[in-house]
Amino acid sequence: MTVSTSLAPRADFPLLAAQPTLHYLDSAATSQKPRVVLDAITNFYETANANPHRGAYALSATATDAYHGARETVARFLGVADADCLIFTRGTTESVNLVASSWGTANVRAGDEIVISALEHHANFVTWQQLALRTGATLRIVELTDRQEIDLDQLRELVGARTKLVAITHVSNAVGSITPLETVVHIVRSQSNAVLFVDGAQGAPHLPVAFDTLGVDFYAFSGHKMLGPMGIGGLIGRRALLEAMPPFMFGGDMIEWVHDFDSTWNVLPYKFEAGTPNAADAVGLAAAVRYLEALDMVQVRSHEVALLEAAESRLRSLPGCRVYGPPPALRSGVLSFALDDVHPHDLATILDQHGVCVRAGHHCAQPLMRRLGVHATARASFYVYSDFADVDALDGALRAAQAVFATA
Amino acid sequence: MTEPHAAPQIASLSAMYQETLLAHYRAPHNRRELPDATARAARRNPLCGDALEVAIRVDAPHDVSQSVSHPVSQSASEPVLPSRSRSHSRVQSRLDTTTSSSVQSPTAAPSSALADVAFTGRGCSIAVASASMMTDATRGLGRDEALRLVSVVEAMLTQGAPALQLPESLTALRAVAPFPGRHGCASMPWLALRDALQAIA
Repeated sequence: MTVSTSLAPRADFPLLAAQPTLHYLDSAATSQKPRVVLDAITNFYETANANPHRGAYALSATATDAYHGARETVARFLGVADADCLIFTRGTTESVNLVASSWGTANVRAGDEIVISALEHHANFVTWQQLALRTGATLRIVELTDRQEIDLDQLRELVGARTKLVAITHVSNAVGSITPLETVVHIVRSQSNAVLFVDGAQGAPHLPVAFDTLGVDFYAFSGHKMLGPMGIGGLIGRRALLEAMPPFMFGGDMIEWVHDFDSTWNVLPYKFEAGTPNAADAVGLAAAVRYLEALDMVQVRSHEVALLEAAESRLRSLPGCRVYGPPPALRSGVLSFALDDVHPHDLATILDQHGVCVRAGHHCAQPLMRRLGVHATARASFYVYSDFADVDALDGALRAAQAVFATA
Repeated sequence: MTEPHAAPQIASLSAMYQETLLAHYRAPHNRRELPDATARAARRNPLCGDALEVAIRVDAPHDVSQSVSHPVSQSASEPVLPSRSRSHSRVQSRLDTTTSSSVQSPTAAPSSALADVAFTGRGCSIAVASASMMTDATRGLGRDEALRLVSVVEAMLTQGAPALQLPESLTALRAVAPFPGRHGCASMPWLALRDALQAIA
């Protein structure tokens, strides 16, 4: 199948519109932003800027409404009926750290077990590794299949009565593998009382997500990977868990009463949102998810699969090209690969000169790279504004790179 | 219409992947063990996992038989680089701070000349070519001369310092200067050499 046009018009994205020959294939790192998102942020500052929840004047009320409205919009997009269970954070990394610091410190003890996978981004790996070191809990790492998918059989073996937490990625940022969350939920629920944390940084932007029906306990996401601005993202949690958790940070807004020697905490979501909230970027994120809703996440997914299949068949025709991960139907829009005899750094530089932006490196997934037996891979990643011209450009630039390094 | 991201640099790209650099990459000079090294130092780039170790042997006026290895702490071995242009400092300083190093050396006389320079490890074409050219360019230099050359290469990469300061055998490295993202690759072996040289001070 060919995808001659993008799902979203490039004209909607000022950066892409200004650089018509740019082939931005690094959306797994961060996405480009549509005009409506930039306008929403500017509009907030131009018409509604005041500190939410603070002032007893109309403008502050406008800012408060805009911030609350953004939360409800994002909650609707991610299938959360109880919007107060969506905590705005700086992004997935902060969300993981919030749960590890707050829930982890309060609940994880020596002798407990924390289960993660070898597929994880460092944010969802190191955070739990350090919690285990701090508490004396045991870290268990689920290994991968030879297609870099989480080995569900091994997950079944590892999850048990001692398991306090299972933290797993929805989609691998490095190779794109999609975790079958239904199966993971079934394993975790039927074999343990563990809390299930899902890193949705690469899931929320690319797959339809309905938290309330997923059956997981926590789901973390980043706005900047889903057309929103940098510096805003969130943590969704079950109300009972969030209410029982101690605060993560202290400061304004998160308190109820401050006595000299003790304090009480505000209700959800404010308990976990200390300090002046990032209202403008929340409003920007809300504009981003409205844009994605209009595109329809089912269409987003099929658009990416079509691009991925097209690109992968091109890459497989290149001599000495290895593609990592499961087949495209089981992957998000990520193409992680290596060319024999061309170092990923050299590859990225040459591709850049052809206007093709790809990531080269360990993708913040060193445990996975070790298991692949490589130090780095090149990664092309697609999104709603990607099209067949991007695939063509990638293919052409890879052939040019091979020509440079061909040993005559 | 113009292509702001690509057109001006196509020439630089072909310059960077010119035959000189590629020839060094394909058949690196002095990529070998140096069992009788006076000092050796490793540099790693955690961003890509590349790692090179540079080993040097110096001609000492007196035979120095004590071979006491003393790992130098990372902060102490972090080289003080010459000031750079603002546009490059961000990329470069990130690479500097994330490039970890380790140094081992026995003692040696400070006036020693480099009798042999070799390297081992893995790297991209730029790192390997740079290391290969470095081993040629520094053999026979005194310690201080070699340290000065490290600074010249650094300055050339990050400040575009005049070519006349650079030995002819290294002029091909100038092609890397327009690529801030690759300065760390080119400088990795030189920083390792500096670590090794400073360890024999």
